[in-house]
Amino acid sequence: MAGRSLVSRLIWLLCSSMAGLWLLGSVTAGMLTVFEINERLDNAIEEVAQRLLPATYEAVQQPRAMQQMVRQLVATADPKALAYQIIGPTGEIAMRSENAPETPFQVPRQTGFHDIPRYRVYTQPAAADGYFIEVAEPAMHRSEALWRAVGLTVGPLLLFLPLSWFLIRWAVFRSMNSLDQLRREIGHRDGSNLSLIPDMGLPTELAPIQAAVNRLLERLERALATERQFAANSAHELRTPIAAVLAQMQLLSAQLAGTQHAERATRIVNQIKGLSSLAEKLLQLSRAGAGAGMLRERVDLLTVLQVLVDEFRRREDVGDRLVVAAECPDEFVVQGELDVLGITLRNLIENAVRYGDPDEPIEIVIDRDRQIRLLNGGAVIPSETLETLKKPFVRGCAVGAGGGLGLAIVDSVMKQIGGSLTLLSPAIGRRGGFEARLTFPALT
Amino acid sequence: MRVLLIEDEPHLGSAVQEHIRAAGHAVDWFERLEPAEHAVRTVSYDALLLDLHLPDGRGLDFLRKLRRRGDALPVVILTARDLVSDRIEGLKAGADDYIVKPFDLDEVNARLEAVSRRYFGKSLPVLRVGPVELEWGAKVARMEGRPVELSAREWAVIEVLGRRRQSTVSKEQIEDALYAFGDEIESNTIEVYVSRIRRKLGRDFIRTMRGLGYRLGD
Repeated sequence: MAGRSLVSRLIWLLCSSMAGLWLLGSVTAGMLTVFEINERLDNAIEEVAQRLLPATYEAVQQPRAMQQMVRQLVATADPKALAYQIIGPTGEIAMRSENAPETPFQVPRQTGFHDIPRYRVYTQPAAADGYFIEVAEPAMHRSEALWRAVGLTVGPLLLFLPLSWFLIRWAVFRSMNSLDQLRREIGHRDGSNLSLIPDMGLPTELAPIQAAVNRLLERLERALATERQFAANSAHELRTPIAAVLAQMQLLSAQLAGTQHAERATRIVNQIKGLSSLAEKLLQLSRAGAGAGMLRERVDLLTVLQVLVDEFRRREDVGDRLVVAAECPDEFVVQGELDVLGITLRNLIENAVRYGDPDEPIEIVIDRDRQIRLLNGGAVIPSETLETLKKPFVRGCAVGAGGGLGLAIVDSVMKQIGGSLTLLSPAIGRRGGFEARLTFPALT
Repeated sequence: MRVLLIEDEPHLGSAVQEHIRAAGHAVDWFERLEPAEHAVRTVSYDALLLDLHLPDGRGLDFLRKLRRRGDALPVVILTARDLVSDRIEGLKAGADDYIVKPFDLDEVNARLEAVSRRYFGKSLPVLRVGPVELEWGAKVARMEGRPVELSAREWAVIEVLGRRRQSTVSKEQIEDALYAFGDEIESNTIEVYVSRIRRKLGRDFIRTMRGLGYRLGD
């Protein structure tokens, strides 16, 4: 039964149980009916034999009267009607009804019922010595009566069976509504939605499940918030000491300029910068993985971009090379967390600055169809390399100071907010370069 | 230029102070907001480098208070918080620029000078005084097209005068701008620097206004 829905299982089980019970009930009712009908018909035969008793006595004593009785009693030739014979002491038929066979019934001359082919015969001694009254009911009559009675008892039950199937189906679907509602609500919960399930007036059997899921969601939310807070605090706590070490080392490097230690000092400064960048990216990745897309506030990405573009343009290696082209109106609203979206866009721009051709512009294009494209110059990246760039610690080229985490962070965040990151090389409409395309989901 | 630095991490603070000093500027460094508040009320600074998390309060509150009382001192925030929301909050509070830790010391100098130039109308990258041409950004001076080498202190004196080009700057004002609290200054220090600059860029580059001070020549 694996893979079948709970509803169809319930309907199948209820209908088959119901059909089984009805079958059992029908058989029992049929048997009782048969028993009762047989009893009634046997009583009727017995009663007829009793009524014949005094008449037989009179007829045996007065043969003329017997002829008269024959005329009175033998009134029908209906083959389904009761037939009788009065058997004399020598076994001959002294008298019979018109529908009775001309030969005596082949039954023992003992009081009681006897079944022979085509007849059920009741034998009883007559009032006159040696005479027997034998009343016979045609078997066809009895079987017809029995079938009619059983049909009238069981038939209606069988007719109600399909109606019961419809009623069971309706009742199951109606009862499962609440479960279905709960299932849909739980189904909507994922990495980007850990909101509590609202009160839906669920039945008492389901209410504890809702309460348990809500408790779990609350616990998960708290755990993820703690992780995010830890990542944010760690970033803060790490940056200050690294900044101090870097600043002191830069001073030392400046003082050692022109000496034999100058090169080593410069190397140490660069290593500190690399370490700082790696620590920052790891914390960003941790933050992105800790349900970063859960907060679904409405954020205008153009505001975020403006802050970032202003910041990057101040850098000597970027300056006016960074250009923004917006095809959409004054705002580009997406659902997510402001700072996580900031981290996403920052990583994308950093990636373009780090790996793009320094003599070519970096373009940010904001499309109408909820896409942001970031294009930079450079050699074409082979498609097999492109496939791997979203993985952590994979760099597009051997040179460059990056940790290979930027695009992994962007990809992780985009997936969590229900969007996507697409990497293309060459960039669309160009002969070379690289294009990173962010596609954001529609607002809900 | 006289800079107020508020930073509670001693190794970072000392390195930043030393580096800015090496560029010829005076730096008063405080690790807490309270003495910094007193200093900013008594000394005319040209720029403020402000950390956000300090032992006795938040840097942003200090900045908001500064702006509320109408102080237009150029402010560059030095912070470990790199989030866009932090940056927006800082800029809204009245900061002119925002540098995230860890940073290049040269970057700090460049940003300081950039915001200082924006404030004091030296947005023009090149200033011409007679035959002398000064490139503020690259710190290059040319006399009739020939490059002239100037020390950091000499550049600092020229910057003080260039910032207030239309007015006369007293010797005390130059001293205030060039020397931090506790620096030892000889009585004729400013005269010595002015004399050296005149030797390199010509007598008319700096004019002496008797009894008042100095100003750049036309």
